[in-house]
Amino acid sequence: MGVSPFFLMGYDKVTLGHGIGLRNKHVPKYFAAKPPVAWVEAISENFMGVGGRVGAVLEKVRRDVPVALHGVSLSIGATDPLSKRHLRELKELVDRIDPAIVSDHLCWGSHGGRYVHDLLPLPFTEESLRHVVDRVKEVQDVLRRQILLENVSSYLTLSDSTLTEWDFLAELAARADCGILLDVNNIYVSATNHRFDAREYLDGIPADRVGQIHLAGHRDEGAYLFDTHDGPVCPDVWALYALAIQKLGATPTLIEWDDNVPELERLVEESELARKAEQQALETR
Amino acid sequence: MKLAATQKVLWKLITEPGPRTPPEVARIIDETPAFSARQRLTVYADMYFWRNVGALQNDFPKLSELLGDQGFAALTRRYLKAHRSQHHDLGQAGWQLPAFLKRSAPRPSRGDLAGLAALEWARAGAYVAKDAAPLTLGDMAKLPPAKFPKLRLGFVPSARVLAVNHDVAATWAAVENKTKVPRVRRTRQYFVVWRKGFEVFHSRVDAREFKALGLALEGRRIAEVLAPFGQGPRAAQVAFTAIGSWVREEMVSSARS
Repeated sequence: MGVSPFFLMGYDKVTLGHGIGLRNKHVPKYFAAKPPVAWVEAISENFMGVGGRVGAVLEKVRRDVPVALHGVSLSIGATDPLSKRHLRELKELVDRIDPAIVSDHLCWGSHGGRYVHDLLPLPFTEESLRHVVDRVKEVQDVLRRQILLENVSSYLTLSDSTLTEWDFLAELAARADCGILLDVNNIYVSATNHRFDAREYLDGIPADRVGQIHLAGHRDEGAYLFDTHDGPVCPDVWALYALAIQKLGATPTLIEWDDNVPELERLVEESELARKAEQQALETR
Repeated sequence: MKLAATQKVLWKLITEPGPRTPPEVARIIDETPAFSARQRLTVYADMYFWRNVGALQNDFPKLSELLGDQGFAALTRRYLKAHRSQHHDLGQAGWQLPAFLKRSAPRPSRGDLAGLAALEWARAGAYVAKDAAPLTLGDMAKLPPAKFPKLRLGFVPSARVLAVNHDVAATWAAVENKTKVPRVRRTRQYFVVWRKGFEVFHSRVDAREFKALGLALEGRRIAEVLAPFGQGPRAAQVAFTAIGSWVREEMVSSARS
């Protein structure tokens, strides 16, 4: 597959500030209180091909603030063909919402037409790289826009890997001409689980390809860290975020808090902490 | 190992975890003394299972309540063995659960579980169905009466009908009201499910209205839709009352010849 003709090589980071994830629990208060949130991220699959309250809420949010669409089931690394239905419905949603960012995960999650609904790790090999590059180009051709791919938290690595995850991600972004959604918590979790240096990871990521950052909480399970998205960002991840900002500059940042979801005010407070951390990091850059 | 072969092996290990670790695991997965390859796979196998439990509980809250957490988890385990998700939206994972329960109800069994699940699934589908502007009684009144028998009604995408073989209405009410769940009673019940605005409703209908709704949803002409109500002035009155209620309840979106 050739280089997509409708955009230049490179990634233009959009200026968004700090956002929050759109969660059912917060919807009434969000519309009533209009919190100081610069943008909102929505899980693409929750809004693809649907109407009713679900669809109406996203359209109402979009009238007020920019929206980022974040997918969880594109299964970009699977060896199944890309789902035409998925792509068609995603394209319809993108056309309807006109999101500031469209992203999914660097992983696979389907096999033989079945979905595991999880973010499974890829072997970081040249074969995987060529495979994912082709598929990212296919998606971008359908959507007629660039996408961002996010590094996932992982609990296993495959012995076949010949590249580091960060080299794989950097090469993928260059060859497929896509962006990177850098999940700083995921770097921290995977670095602990696989005993690599999180700073080395950050150093290996091309700053000009990073279009968004995710932050989240995790849980220490003893033998490993588990990416739970069920609590505040921990101090080590805040420190890594500061390093990331020093390297990347101001980058749209989102707090992911999907389980034990707190009150909206607490989530906004966490987002405000991210804004302050970014400001501080930029001052010491 | 090729990417496709690696994924095939991992897929099986995660979706069908067994009591023994196959020998190929050590060849394909890195491990450390503190965190073995098997433990690493178990993290994924558990996430796969519990994520499905959560999604199904979300769509089948009354079934879940009736079975209890353990019972529902056991049902999910059996269901996933037979039906892995075929849709990119995890919210669609339960579409075969009513049929699965009909074939293979948990023990000790309640015969009404399949019907209860069918009703919950119909409601879940109606909640996210695409939007369509409903027709009003005023719109209907503007149509020439002479053309009425030849009209075909279009329904909002959320409208659907279902028939069950047990007293699901009583079980539903008991779970809803947190009262004692009655003994299973075998009887034929018919429901129509639809969304009005953002709110999902279900209502029991009789066999004639169920059949008429089925015909109308198939796009048959009103003359054919009226047939299940029978002949005579009384039947005609019942039929037009029923059709009027479909319009009033915002199930109908168009009327075309």
